[in-house]
Order: sequence, then structure tokens, then C-alpha cells
Amino acid sequence: MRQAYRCGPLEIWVEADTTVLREKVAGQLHLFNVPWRGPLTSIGLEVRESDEALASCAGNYLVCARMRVDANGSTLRAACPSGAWCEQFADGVSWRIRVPRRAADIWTLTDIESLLSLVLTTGWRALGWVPVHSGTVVKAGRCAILCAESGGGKTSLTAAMIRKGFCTLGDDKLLLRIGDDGAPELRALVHTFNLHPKTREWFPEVGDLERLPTYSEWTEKRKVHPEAIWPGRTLTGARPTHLLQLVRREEPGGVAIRPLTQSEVVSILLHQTVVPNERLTASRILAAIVTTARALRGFRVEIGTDAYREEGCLAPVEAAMS
Amino acid sequence: MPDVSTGQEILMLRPDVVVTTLESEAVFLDLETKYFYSTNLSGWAITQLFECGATRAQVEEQCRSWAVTEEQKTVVAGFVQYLISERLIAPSRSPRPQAAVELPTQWETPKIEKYKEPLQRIMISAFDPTLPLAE
Repeated sequence: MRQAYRCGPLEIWVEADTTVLREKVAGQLHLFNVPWRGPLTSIGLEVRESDEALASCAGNYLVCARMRVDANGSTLRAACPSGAWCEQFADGVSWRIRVPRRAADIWTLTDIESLLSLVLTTGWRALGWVPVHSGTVVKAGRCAILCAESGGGKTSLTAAMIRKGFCTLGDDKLLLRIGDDGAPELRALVHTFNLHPKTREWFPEVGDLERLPTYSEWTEKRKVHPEAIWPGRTLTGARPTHLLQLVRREEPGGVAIRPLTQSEVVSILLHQTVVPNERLTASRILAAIVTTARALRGFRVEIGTDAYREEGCLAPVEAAMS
Repeated sequence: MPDVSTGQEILMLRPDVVVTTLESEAVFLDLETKYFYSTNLSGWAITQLFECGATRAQVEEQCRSWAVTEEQKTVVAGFVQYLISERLIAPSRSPRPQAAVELPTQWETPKIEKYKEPLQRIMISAFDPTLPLAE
């Protein structure tokens, strides 16, 4: 039986042959919980257990921690260390994922996540969107792209800004493109926040997050929909005007801010997206990122330990975005 | 590094260097090294000469047609040498027919900036470009 999942501008039609695989795929694709304004493009995805092996991939298109991707003409194929692999068919919109017959193994499940991320990002890029690993805060026509490494404080700053009247498109997954008018445009993909239970010390309204299940073996964070805590504070799209680079400062104190140069903004934004080695794809991403970066005012925001305990700590950030 | 001292060797922008141009600059990304660069429009005009393949002598000739001063010719030679040293251009045996390259604005000293941080070679996933932690 085929099941459809809407992930941004894609409608993924999944056919999976075991309960474990169905649940894993559903768990991943349900994360993309923001309704899409506009037409959807269908992608077919068949996920099966199999003894069929794929010759190893060299990674000429992309090398990830647990996945190597090769471009083979106009199609892609990828292999993971668990033995899971995937292949794109020549029509560009059909894929098959094959996993070894021990699909419940944690590494196999992890590799399925990697393969799904390839299917999604390839589909989004084919439609002219650039996936960006960043958060956002939006208020009064100003939209800042929040850039930090994983665990760098995007979610905490987003939550803190929401309490100051800002809205958000999400805390770490966005799509970006240059619109017909030449201006950059952002769309939300995932509204769910990944919040650490300790966040409650700063923002009591998040409640006791430890009662919620963890979503991964690798983190203490819990998945929480911001609308459940701060109603009316999520958006589906915005025009970016600012970029905030977040840096944790391992000392007490508030928030320090300084302007970034245009070159720094280009570099920071380019580091928030995956650029495959294929020339045409890389060219499109580079054009979208550089055009966007040139339209933004950038600031480096250093956040001291427990900064959010201080009332008014975000005044410099609000002033920068005013 | 190949000997390109004669000025007659054909040099070409490497195929895995991708470029995007804006109103006042061009940004190059070298997909092999993952470094990226920004150059002004005069620098981009010179670099464009290597898109189809050009010798240093042809670059000098083109600069004459752009009315580049003698002093600036030395700067252009240094710029080309920088492109060679960064392997953005490399000797080629298969040049393509040269398209005309117009200097888009008035001549300015060609400049190129190399960004400090290259893009990651290995990342967490096809969405997350973060450098993965060791397992």
C-alpha cells in the first residue's frame, strides 16, 4: 500500500514492505509538518529489505558521515556502511531504497535517515529551492537567518526572540530561492523545535520536557511544536533581511553583537548549505546563496552562559534588526 | 606546477570551478578544494578570458584593447599568476573558440579575495553541512 507524505513542495509516495521500514520512513517524513503554498511535485519511493547489494560508491557527488553519493549521468545512487543503499531512476522522480534484512539495527535505521535526506534535498533542488540548515526570527518585515553549528544555540535564541514578540519559520530547516523579482525568499519546512529540557530554566512556559520521549539515541532534546507553547508565532514564508551568526561564549554575561562584513556573510551562509560536487547543481546553489547574502545585513551575536536569565539581554539584537 | 613561463601555454578555468556573478563582483567556488573566492569586475573580466582558454600573451593583448596602463599590466600579470598558483586556471590542450569579453565597467585594479574557511568535504547529511563528530 502506498502512503503519501508532504515534505515542502514534494509529495512523496512511499511503498515500504515491512512495519519497521514503514514506521521509520513515516517518522522521518512526518517531521516536515508545514503546509506548502503552491503546487506539489510527486516523488515515488520504494523501500524494501533485500539481499541485493550495490557496488560501493566513491562519493563523486557528495560524501557524508555515513553515506557516499555518486552521480551516474543524470541520476544519483548512494551507499551506506550498514549495507543500505538507494538509487534514483532515469525519470528523476522515482527512487528505490534497499536495506539489509536487519532493518531494526540502529545503524541501518540511521542510514535510512541519510538516504531519505538525499531523496528530499535532490527533489527540492530540482524545483529550484536550496535547503538551508538555519533558523529564523521574523518581526515587522524583518527576517533574520540564524546561523550556528549544530548545538550552537539556534533554538534557544529563537525561543528567546519569540518571547519578545518575534515569529519563526523554524529552528533549523529552511528552503531558499531567488524569486522572480530577484529577491530572496524563504519557506518553512519544519515547525517543530528540538528543545533541551534545560531550556525550562530560562523559559518556564516550555514545561517539563523530560516527560516527553527522546527522538534520537544521540541527544537529550525533545521535539516540541512551538504553537503549543507560543500560539500564533509560526510562519510559512518570509523575505530575509538579516543574518545573525550565533556563537556561544563560555563565560557568564549577556549578549555581545558586532556587524559582519559582506564577505563574512557570504561565507557564513554558504556554510549553512550542502554543495554537491556536480557543476550545475553547485552553480545554482552558489548563485542563490551569494545573491541572498548580498541582500542581508549581518551581525555576529556572542551569547554568554545563562544570558537568557538577564531581562533585556536581547536588546542589542532587537536594535540590530530594527 | 606546469611551466607556463613562455606566455604561449593555453590556460583554462578548471571545469570544477563554478562561478556566479553579481552587479559588482564574481564569486568562484572550487569544487575540488572547496575554497571560494571573490573578485571585482575587472578580475572577473580577466578570468573570463580563461573560460574558453587563453594564453598570457592573449590576455596582454586584450588588456591593450581595454586601454590598461603599463603599470596595471604588471598587476594583471600578478593576478593571472595568482589564479595559476591557486590552480583555478590550469594548462589545457583543448581550448574552445574564444567569445568576446567586454569590460563591464571602467577598468579598476583587479582584486581577488580568498575566503578563509573552505566548505566542508564531509558533512553530517545531504541537508546538514556540519562537520560530523567522530563516531
